[in-house]
Parts: sequence; C-alpha cells; structure tokens
Amino acid sequence: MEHRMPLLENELTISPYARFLKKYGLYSAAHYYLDLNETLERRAARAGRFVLENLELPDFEEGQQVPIRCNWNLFRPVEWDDPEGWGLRFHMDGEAIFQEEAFRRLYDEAKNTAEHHIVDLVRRNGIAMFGTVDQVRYDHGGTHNVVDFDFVLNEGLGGYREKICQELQRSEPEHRMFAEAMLDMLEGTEHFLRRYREKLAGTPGAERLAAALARVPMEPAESFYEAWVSCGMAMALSGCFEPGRIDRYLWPYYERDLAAGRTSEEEAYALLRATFEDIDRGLWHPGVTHVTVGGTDREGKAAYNALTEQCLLAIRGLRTPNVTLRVRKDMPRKIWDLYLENTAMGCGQPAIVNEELFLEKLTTDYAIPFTDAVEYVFGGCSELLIQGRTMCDSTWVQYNMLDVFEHTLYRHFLSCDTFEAFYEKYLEAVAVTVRDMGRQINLRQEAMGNNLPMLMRSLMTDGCLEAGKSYTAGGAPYNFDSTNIYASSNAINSLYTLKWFYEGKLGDLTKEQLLTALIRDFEGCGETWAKCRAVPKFGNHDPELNALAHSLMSFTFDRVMELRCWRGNGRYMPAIILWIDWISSGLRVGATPDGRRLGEATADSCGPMQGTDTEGPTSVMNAALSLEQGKCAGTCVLNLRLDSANFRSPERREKVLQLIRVYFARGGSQLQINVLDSKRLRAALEDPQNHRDIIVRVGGFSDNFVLLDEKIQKEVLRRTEHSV
Amino acid sequence: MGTVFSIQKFCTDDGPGIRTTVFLKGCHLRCRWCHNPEGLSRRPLLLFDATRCVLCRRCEALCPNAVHSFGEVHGIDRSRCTLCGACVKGCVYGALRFCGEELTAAQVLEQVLADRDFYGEEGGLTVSGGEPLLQPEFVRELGELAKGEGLHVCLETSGAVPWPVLEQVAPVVDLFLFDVKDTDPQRHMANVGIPLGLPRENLRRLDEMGKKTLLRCPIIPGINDREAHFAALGQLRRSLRNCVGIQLMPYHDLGRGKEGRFGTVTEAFRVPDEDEKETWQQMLERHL
Repeated sequence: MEHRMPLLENELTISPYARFLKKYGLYSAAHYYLDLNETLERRAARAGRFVLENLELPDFEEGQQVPIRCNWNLFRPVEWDDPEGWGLRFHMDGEAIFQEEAFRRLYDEAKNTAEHHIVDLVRRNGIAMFGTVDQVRYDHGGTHNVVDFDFVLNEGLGGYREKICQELQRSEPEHRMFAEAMLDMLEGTEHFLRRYREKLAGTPGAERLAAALARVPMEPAESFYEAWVSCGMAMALSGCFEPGRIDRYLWPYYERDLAAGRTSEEEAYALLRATFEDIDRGLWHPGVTHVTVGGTDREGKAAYNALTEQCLLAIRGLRTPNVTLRVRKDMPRKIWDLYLENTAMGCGQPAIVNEELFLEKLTTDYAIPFTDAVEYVFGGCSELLIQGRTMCDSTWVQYNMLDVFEHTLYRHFLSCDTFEAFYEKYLEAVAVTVRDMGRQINLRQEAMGNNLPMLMRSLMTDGCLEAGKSYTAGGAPYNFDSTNIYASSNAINSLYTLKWFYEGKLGDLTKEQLLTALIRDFEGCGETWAKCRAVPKFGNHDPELNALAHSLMSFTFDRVMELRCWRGNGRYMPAIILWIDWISSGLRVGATPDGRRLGEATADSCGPMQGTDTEGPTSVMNAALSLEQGKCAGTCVLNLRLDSANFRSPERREKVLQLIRVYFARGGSQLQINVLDSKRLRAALEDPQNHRDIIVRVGGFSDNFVLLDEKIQKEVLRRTEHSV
Repeated sequence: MGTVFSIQKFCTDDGPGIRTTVFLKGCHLRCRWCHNPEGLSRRPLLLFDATRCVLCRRCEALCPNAVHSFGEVHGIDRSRCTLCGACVKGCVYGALRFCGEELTAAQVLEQVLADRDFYGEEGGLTVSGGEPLLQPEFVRELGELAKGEGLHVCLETSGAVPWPVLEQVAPVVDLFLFDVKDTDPQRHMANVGIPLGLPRENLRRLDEMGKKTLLRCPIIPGINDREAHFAALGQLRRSLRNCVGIQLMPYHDLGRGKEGRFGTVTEAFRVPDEDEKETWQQMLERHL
C-alpha cells in the first residue's frame, strides 16, 4: 500500500520538530508537530488525516452485515508508523498512543540543545495529553456522544464541506484553523471510505455494502438500507457506537421503501438485530451504548412506529446496547404489550422513562427549547444528551454520599448533641464537597479541552464548526456533566440510624461504642451490628424516613444543579445511574451505621439497598418518589425486582401496568424492571441476610423467601427454573 | 383493637386490582391444607427467624420457662411458652419476635392508605386471616374507615360464622371472597373441621342480600380434585345471582415452609403441576 505523506515530502517546509521526528520514523507525530504555531485542533487534524489516509482497512468477516464491526478499533495507529518503536504514534482523532519509557531513549539521539528540547517537549506533551487532575475521590471517566444522524443522513458527510467553506472565510485565525482541521478530517475520511469501498467491492458477500458505500455516508441516503449503512459508518467513525433515536431517524426511509416494496419487516428486523448483535458481541462491557426509542417528535406528536416495535424485538436476548423506551401517556397498547413481554422474558430491556417529566424538566429547569429537548436520548448507561448537539461527560463524577458521610461521622458525631446538629454538619459537607467536585471536574474538562479535541465527534456534532471549537472545548450547544451520585440510599439509612440513636431507640448504645464498632468493622460487636441492621431501611413504609430522604436528596440535587461546566458554561446534571460502580463505590468506605460492612457494595439505584426492602414494589416506589426525581434529569434510575408470576396472565400484567402508570403520574422518572429468576433465588439461599426483599406470593399468601424452610425454598427454586 | 398477624402490600390475587391485604389472627376452622397456620390461634405466636439467630443463648438465660435449648441448633419448646416476651425483648438480633400484634383500625388504615395511589379504581383493601369474622367489630370499624376514604373493600371469609356477624360487616364490604372448601358434607367435616351447612346457607343469604361474592375454591390432590366436586362448584356458581366469578386455588405447600419459624405443623399433599391445574380449570369450565 502506498504511504501517503505529502506534507512531509519537502523538509524545507516543515518545522524542525517535524524534521526530527520524521528522521526517526515518527510520521504521525511529525504531522502533529508540523507547525507549533497552529492551534491544537489544527495540528491534531494533520495527524488525524495522515492516519485516515494510511490506516489499515478493517477486516470483513464472512456473514458480516454491519459496515464496520464495533470491535474493529478504527482508533489505532498506522501499522508502519514508528517502525523502530520509539513509543509515539497518533490515531485518527489526533490522540497520542504514548509509551514514555520507550520514548525517553530518544534523549540519547539528540545531538544538540534544540533536539534535546524537541524530545523534552514532545515527551511532556505525551504525558500531559491524558493527564487529569488526580482527585481520585471524584473520579470515574468517559464520555458519550450521539452524532448528528439527521445531518449525516439528509446531507451526507459531504454536506459538511459547504459549512466548512463558510467558516474558512472567518477572519479569526483560530476559527479558520478549526475549519481547516475539520476539512482535513472530512477529506481524510473520504479517502479512507474510498479505499474501504474498493476493498469491499472485491470481497465475496460484501457487494451490497460496497454498492451502498459508493454513495453513503459521503452523500445523502436514498434508501432504508443506505440509511442504515450510513448510520453504521457514522457510529464507527465517531468511535462511539451510540445509535440514539434509531427508530425515529430511520423511519422516513423505511416507510418509503416499505410502501414501494423495496424492503420488508424481516429486513428491518435483520438490520437492527445485526447492529445490536454486533454491539453486544464486540463492546467490552454491557452498558456502554444506548438506544432510545419512542417518545415525541418535533411537532409534539407521538413518535412510535413499526421500527420502535422492531427495536424491542431485536434486543431480546442481548445484554447490550441498553435500550430505553420513552413512555408517553398515550403510548400505543401494542408497544406496552411488547414491553411487558420483554420484561416477562427476563430480558431486562427496555428500561422506561417518563416522557412528560423529562420534557417538562428539560424545557424549564434547563431552558432547552422544545425542538431540542424532544431529541433527548441516553448514552451509555443512562446519561442524558440532546442527540447530535451534545458533549456529555459520562459519569465523570463519582460523588459518593456515603464517603462524605463517613468523614462527617468521625469528625462531628461525638461533638453533636442532637441529630439536627449532625445533619446540619453533613449538609454543609455535601455543599462544600459538591462545589469542590465541580472545581476538580472543571479542571479535568479544561485539561481535556486543551489536549484531546475528539476531531470526528467535533465534525459530526452540530454547532462545533460554527463555534470554531472542538467537541471537548465547548463547541457543542449543550455541554452536560452527568454527575453520578452514589450510595444515596446507604447515606439515608445511615443518617436514620443516627436519628434513632439520638432518639434513644438503640438502647444503651453509646457514641463511642458505635464508632468503635464501625472502626472494627463490627468484629466482636455483634449486638451493635444487629441494632444497626434492625433500624428501618429506605424502601419500606416509613414516612419519617422518606421525609429525611426527600430533604437530603433535594438539597444535594440543588447543589449539583448550581454548578456550571468549564466546557461551554454547560450544566451539571444530577444523576443516579451507578452502572457497575455501585460495587466499587463501596470498596473505599468502611463499615457504616446502616449495618453495612467495610468494602461492601452500595445501593444499585435510587431505590433501597439490595435486599432490605421487605414490603414489595409499592413501598419501594413510594420511597423512590420521595426523592424529587424531576431534579435528577441525568437520570434517576430505579431498579425494581418483580416475581415472574406477575407477568403470567393478562390480568396480572394489567396490574404491573397500573404500578408503572401511577409511578410516572406521581413524578417517577425511570424504571428498570428485573424479573426474579432462579439465579437470584440461589444467591438468596447462600446469603439470606442480603436477600430479604424476595417475596413469594400466591393468592392469600405472601412470605419472604429467605424465611421459608429450606426444603420449601428449594421447591420454589425448582419451580422457578421450570417456569422460565 | 384487632389482632393482626400480617399486612401485605401489592397483593394481586386477593381481589381485583392492586390491594393491601390485612391478615387477622384466629380461625376456628382446621383445614388440613392451611397455608397460614400462624393465623389459627388468636393469641400471638413466638416467631423464630433462624437467619438472624447467632446462638448467643441470651434467650435461654432470660426465659423463665426453659423454652429455649441449644444443642446443635436452637430448639424451641412452645408448649412451655407463656408469651411473657422476655426473650423477644432480649434478642437484639431480631431472631425472636411475636407474630400477631394489637393494632387499632386507624393504625391499620394508615398503612393501607400509603398505597392508595396504586389502587386505582379497582384495587383497595382486603381483610383476610385466619377467619377475620372472629373479629367482626374490628372488621366493621376498619371497613367503615376504609369506605370513608373511598377505598374498595374485600373480605375473605369461610362464611362459617353466625349470620348476624355477616350482617354486621356486610354494609362495609364491596366484595366477599368466599371460600368454598368442599362441596361434600362428609369431606367438609373431615377435612375442614366444621359442617358444610352454615357457610353454604350464609353464602345464599349474602347473595339474596345483593352482595357480590367471588368464590375461592382450594383444590387439594387426593381430597376434592374430582369431577363431582367441579360439577357441584359449577352448579353452585350458577345458582348465585350476584356471584362475580369462581376462582380455583390449587394447593401449594408454601405454608409448610413456616414450620421452623412458628412451630406449626401442616399436613403435606401432592403439589399439582401446571398441566394438572389446567385440567382442573377445564373441568370446572365444563360445568359453568
């Protein structure tokens, strides 16, 4: 394959940095350092274009349908870049793949002070590129993006050329350089696509795809199949396999082709299923991408269609992508029935959200115009974005309420004479640490914006070109930080234990005894542990406890909503998503007054700590509804566990629907219903203390599974395994 | 005051819609298949939760009647228990509790009202047991309070009480979940412990009064799973003008899972599989 490096051919026209780096075979780096007077984005794009024009083409597997498999990492260096292994290569987004130890050897090659400085600067840049302020207390990481599918489908990637040309006329050099960077990315992409198409044209089984790639994604799509291919390419090029509102934007193409007999329901299912299966097979963890279906269109009308139904069918049996169904009050019965069938199967998908609540809060609390608000989607686990127009930090923040509580406890419990005094100290700590978190996160945002422009997302996110700023520097119209609040239920429970203590309900237990028991992780302190565990827990009927939860979380949500991002003066959005980190968030926290042992996991949603709710779903929902969920737009996830028997007849399913409708009518935000299965029953047999929430119900009978005699437990387990 | 042994939320099989079921203690029937044996006695029962017991033996030291013993496991001799409560008070681990507490109707209603938004138009309160009509004044008071709040009220009963008792509560009950344990008088006496005649007569009188009933019929393998019984059930259903339906209650053995906790002993029967339950349903429908 030809090695394309026209910019490096004439050494009289490149900087000393580029000359030095080229000499050692560091070709992408030479492009990056072609002209240090240029802006970051301009330089990154030079490297990005070099990579795009020389990148190894993806393999095409037999039977493959998707244009590029998501486990084929496009964001890799050029194979022949850095042949001597000096440890510095760039990928197509202008980000370094840097091995400092190998690169340090270049110091020995420097023959003069100027070359020494080059090595030093490049090395320090490489270290700093991914450097973040190391405030581990608030650290998680990641971003999500849903590209502007509407533009890519309707105008093609080539449509960006006209916009770029307009911006090239700008007088501000930084703005013009940004446009030049985008042009480099566009033209590099075009070159890559041409090479890929030529390869596919000669590949058995890829003929149809190759024919589509002759037009899309550079040109507007003209058929359902082309639209599907175009979206697949856009996702691959953005490096973020987030399909967004796939039923909405593919619908016009599908509707037209179906009417003309050019496609079928079977094909729609097959293509959607191919996309989902590819994500399920290829991504490193469930929950890193999201499909959002249903909801409302820009005219305010219901946006459910046949592709919505196909998405719900196509996700069956797959862990990922996550699917969320936007539920309007007038959602068609057919969609409800599909949702209930999926849930009954133990599919766990889709989650559902309260459409009216989201639209209300986005337009009022966040002042987002309706025509944008209606395009809200979820990324990854459930971070909220406006499709095509948003940079969203994905749970960049791990704000751990129990961690903050622990510090308050040891510093102030002994000196506070009343619960009110302690609670005030805790709220003060929440306020201070939330603001501190905001400062830390903004430093990280700035570091990212100054080092990692995410060029392809910059191109395919509306607004960046016009703003002359990259995706990470605040170019998008919407910049959210999804602030993930962990262990809220554990903090609520721990506070309630202290309230009982101050009210004398824990007998003759002293403060010193309680604190000592916690420090000892309850070892040798069984009675104290039992007392802590016996205090009522969030998720059961207790108006006083729910009132405390309301007070604490409203305060916390308000403090988060007061923050503003460095990036584009965007908004911090409170969220209780938790992903898989409800496990790790407990690792750092010692034993706590809710009876939790050192290192044990924390609650997995905004609902009760797992296993502590003993009254069933209505009490869980009542508790969750005490949290003023409308303030938690980024999203407020509730995991609800139901027995599979609740889905076994039409009458019972109606009762589940009643539950959901009431939950949403009262301000509930999101629901993830998991059907109790034999796996959970087995876990309950092993660890009954932490599974007291499993309730076995038949007519006239309800009982906690863990309290049944063992032989009956095993019978229930056997029957559950048979019934699934 | 009423003696309550359980309040269960999100009950979906105890009447229409989503309901909260309040279980009252005490029953004079002795159904061999009873799945709530802890509800038979009007008195509280000592409940032992083995999942919480840490074998500290504090109960043994506190008990004046040598109820608790410790060999390989924690043993409980309930025949010696006077319900003094010393062990319950002393067990900080929550392993020993009383099943059955005295509550006012207002206290019970407060719990029921917590879920009122979920009841919608169909759901509401169900009073069950035991035999709730052994506490008719409490049922009446609770029913009045519930109706005052606009709730739908179901009462699950064997109907095996004097007619004036039913008359007393009828005004506050929207739907009677009426147990029809058997249709053969001899089997009824042998397996339920009371004559068939009284509950059958009461059912007829409720129907004449215009009260709605839903027949709830336990089907026990080897006892009443016979064609003649289903025929009789069908005939009974057809004879009632205000009966809204008939519901078979296939035997389950979950009540036997309470033996360790309450010291109750329940007879074991064969548990029907899904095919058998379907066959029973079809047999019944042939006679409706």
